[in-house]
Amino acid sequence: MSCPIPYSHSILKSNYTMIRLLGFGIAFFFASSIALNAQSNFTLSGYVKDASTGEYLPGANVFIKEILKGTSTNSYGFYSITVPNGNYTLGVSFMGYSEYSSPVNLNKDQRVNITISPKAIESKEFEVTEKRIENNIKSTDMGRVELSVENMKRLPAFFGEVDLIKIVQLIPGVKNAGEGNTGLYIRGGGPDQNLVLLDEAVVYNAAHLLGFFSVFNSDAVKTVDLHKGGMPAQFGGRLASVLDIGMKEGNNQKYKVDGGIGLIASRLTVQGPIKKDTSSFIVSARRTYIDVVTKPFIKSTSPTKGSGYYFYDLNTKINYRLSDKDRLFISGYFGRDVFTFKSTKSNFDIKIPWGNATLSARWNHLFSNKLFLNTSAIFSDYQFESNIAQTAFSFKIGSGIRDYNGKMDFTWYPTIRHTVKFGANYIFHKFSPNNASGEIAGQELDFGPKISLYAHEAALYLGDDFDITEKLRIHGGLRASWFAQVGPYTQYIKNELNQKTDSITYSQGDLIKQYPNVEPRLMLRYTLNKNSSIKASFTQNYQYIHITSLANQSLPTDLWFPSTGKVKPQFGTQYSLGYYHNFKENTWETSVEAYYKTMQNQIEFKDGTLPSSSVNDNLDSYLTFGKGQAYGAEFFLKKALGKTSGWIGYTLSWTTRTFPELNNGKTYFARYDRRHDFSFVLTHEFSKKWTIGAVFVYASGNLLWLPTSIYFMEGQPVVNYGERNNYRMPAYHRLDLSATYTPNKERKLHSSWNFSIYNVYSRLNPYFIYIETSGSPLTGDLKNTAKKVSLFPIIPTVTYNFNF
Amino acid sequence: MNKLVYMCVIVFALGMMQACEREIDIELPNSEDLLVVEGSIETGEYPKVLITRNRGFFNEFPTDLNTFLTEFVVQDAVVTVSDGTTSEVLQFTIDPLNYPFVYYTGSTIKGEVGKTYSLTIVSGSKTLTSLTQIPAAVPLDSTWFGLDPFNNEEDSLGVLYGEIMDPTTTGNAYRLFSKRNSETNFFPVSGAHFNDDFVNGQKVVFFNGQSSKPFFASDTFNREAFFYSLGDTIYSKFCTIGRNEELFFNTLDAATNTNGNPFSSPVLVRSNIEGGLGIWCGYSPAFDTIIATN
Repeated sequence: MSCPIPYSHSILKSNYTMIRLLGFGIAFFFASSIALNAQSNFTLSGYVKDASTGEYLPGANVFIKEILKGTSTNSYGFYSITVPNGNYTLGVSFMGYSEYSSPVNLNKDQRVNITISPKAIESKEFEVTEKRIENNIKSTDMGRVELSVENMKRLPAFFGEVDLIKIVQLIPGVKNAGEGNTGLYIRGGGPDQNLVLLDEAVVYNAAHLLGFFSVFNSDAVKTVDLHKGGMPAQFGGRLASVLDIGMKEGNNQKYKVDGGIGLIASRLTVQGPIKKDTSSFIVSARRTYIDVVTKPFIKSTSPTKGSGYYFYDLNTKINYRLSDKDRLFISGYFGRDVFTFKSTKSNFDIKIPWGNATLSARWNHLFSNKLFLNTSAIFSDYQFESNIAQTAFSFKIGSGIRDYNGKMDFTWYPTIRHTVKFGANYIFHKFSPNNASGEIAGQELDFGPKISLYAHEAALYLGDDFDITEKLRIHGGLRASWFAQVGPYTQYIKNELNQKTDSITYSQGDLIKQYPNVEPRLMLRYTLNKNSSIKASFTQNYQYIHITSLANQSLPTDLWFPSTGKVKPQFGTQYSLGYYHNFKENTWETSVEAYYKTMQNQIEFKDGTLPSSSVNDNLDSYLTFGKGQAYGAEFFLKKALGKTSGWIGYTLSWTTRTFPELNNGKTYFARYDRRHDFSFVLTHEFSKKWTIGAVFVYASGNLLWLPTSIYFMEGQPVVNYGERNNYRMPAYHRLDLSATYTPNKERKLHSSWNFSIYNVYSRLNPYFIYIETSGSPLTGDLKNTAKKVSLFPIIPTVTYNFNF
Repeated sequence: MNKLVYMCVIVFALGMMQACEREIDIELPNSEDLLVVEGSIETGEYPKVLITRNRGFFNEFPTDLNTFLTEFVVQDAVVTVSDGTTSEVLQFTIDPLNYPFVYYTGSTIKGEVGKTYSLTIVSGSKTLTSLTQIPAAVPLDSTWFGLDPFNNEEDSLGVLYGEIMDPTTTGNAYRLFSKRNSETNFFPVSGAHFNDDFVNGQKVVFFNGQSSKPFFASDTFNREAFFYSLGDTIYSKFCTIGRNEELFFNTLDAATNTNGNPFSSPVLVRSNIEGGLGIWCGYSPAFDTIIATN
């Protein structure tokens, strides 16, 4: 992959300030840790792996039982603990796995690779393990939720498709955009304020089929990790959250095939060792087949023959253990939605493909038993295209974003009290918003030159998880980020009517505008007793890329746009405060988190902007700028262990926006302002063969901006709008149930049946409300009526899953 | 692997998958009372200004003409037009033959190319103001009739083509009016307005159907009412207007087209009236007449 990065001195110059700031941070860290290094300490380090698949396990708790101190494995399953010499018991605990415990005589540095077994296979009982490291109590993480993909598969699935984004939406503080939609609105942020990562590659549009399904195939996913509160320093570039999704590595012990046949889509995953214990692969594919199933029923003479819709995903990954110290991972994702419409009667032909492609190559290297490095090279791409043709006329409009990304992430375990993460990141972005071309009767239409925008984005970070005392732990972090829009670019000078009067042309590599910034991150945890703690966090984030949308919800047509001279980077500040308490030996986890957030430099289109306005023009001249505010409280009760598990979440929240040029400058509630949001998630294992699941959600309705009056212009009725978002839709609520039947666990072919009922009591939730105007004032029957459209009544589905 | 042969697959769906639509009652916040201006001044003509009121969204509409005139039409406003040197207070007139039938008009100031006209309306506590200019007319080089290019079935219906040469200066904008046979009023052709953003300094060919008749909008598309027929006498009035005024008609069209589309944000109409809604537009017309032949 070649990367057209123009060399620029200015990168180095502006990063100087950041390096100095980071230098200060490092000096502070050393001052605090030198004193601790006086004793003769030894280091235990290694990887934690799944015994059955050989996959490395991130997030597992590794600890010394005698002192109940430890760490958790990093994203690649690596851990390192440094303690004074002595005899210890090393323990590992990880949700869903049996407890590991082994004596260690620590008189020299030791490498201990640990394999642990999934509980379901080894033991018949779901036991509550003692001395589980109480991660939610002990960590400094706020608003962080990790989900188990295996548990998700027992929950009701919409149209039989297990969708991890829909399950993420059930977490307090995370809101969906409406019926069946995978858009995420986290703590008052917009859908563009979430960093969605798949094996470190940014996924710019995580939705299939207008958002009814997400692009993540649950069979290929290993970990789901959401940060909605304090974002640690290794993440940046977004204001609201990080959704970090890790693909499975592939079983390096034996070949395995997983599949599922569902109502609208089927899945197949093949994985296995390339060389046992050394390398493995996984290939996972999914495709919908509405188009295939309906094809035989469409007559060959049908005027719309050839119309249809489908989407597919392909996930692949290979990994190779080069040596004890080096591992290589290469993973890719490719997915497309394709919508076609043909009408032979009117010679009309539409084809709209869109989708993401990502490729990540990652190399893990252990410099020592305390210093771990991951180096990544990542490519990420999202493209949307719309082709319309009719007789002598054809028109094509496309938009997209493409990234070339390089990263180095170090994890350093100097003492048991510190886990230090530091690294650097560089991205070269190419944005192509709204580029159109077309012709009529062979004559090309002149839409002006196509416009692409180019930008560099870079960051250096340093973060330390530091046990200051037994009770007080902090995560202190500093992220220095830098963004620069560079040429080639043609910037139009506009008059007050937004007409082009002149232009400035920048050639390749010319610096147009740059933004260097520093983002502090601070999280504190104070332990009150064995079962409870208080946490607080303060984080500041900059976001340099933006979605501009004229639509009411996330659509594939949403345009990504960089910060430019006119569009300043979004800037967010979040304060959170939380109380965490666990009951009954950590069987029950509870938490309350309150947050307050401000967001500067939010963007919206100016009033009166049309979807066609910005075609082949400087999009930023159609934008207007304002600020946002969000606050609320999230209540969470979770039962993590036992035959019955699940959670109850409730969020009370407010989200507002203030734009001087919109709504006459008056503050208004954001579209996804949601006062109440309640979710209930339950799974219960009746027997080895039967597991049931239930999901109930209740949420205040979304806000709509509806007209308040009507007037006549040249005899035609015209609607006039009042204040923004002046109407709240009726509340949304829904109950889903599922039962999973798993017969014959002992046989080689494992199969299971998932029976799901979506919307059990067939609540007709509003998907949207629209106004219909009918009649004419002259005939005296002019009438406006409001109509509510609901999408999904009760939907039972069956999915058959198998593996062997 | 051979156990695969025992696999059987059952896929069924008991649920109905079609969307469900219901009428609902919704309560909207009360609307502000606003005045709506539909004002024009054309080269060689007296200004015409119709002033109406807006109405609550779900309120019923009056069915008889008298109620309509008293409830909707503002008859007691003080309407002043000025060309910078002369100003005139317009008088309220009822004129059943000429659109817009009830309007304020004058007897002194007539539209002249190049002049800027201010409009001031005082009604009760409200004062509305606006400015417009009559630009130089861009000539309508020719018009002709052509059969409907998108219809495969042969019939006698077709569209009116026109051709102009856009001047090299940027910011030109146009609006087309037409009438046919014995019709007395020129009415605007729906959607027939454009600017030179993409066609500056070029030859422009456009085609359109008939003008839309106010208050007679029909929900169903009627080919006979939309297209011209062979043998029709077609009168075209092609007006050069201001770019800002064209933006009003552009957003008005978009607002009408997106109304009810749940996926798009509301399009706000870009009025040029300070303190109210609507438009005050100067028109610089060029005329042509043809008989539709194949």
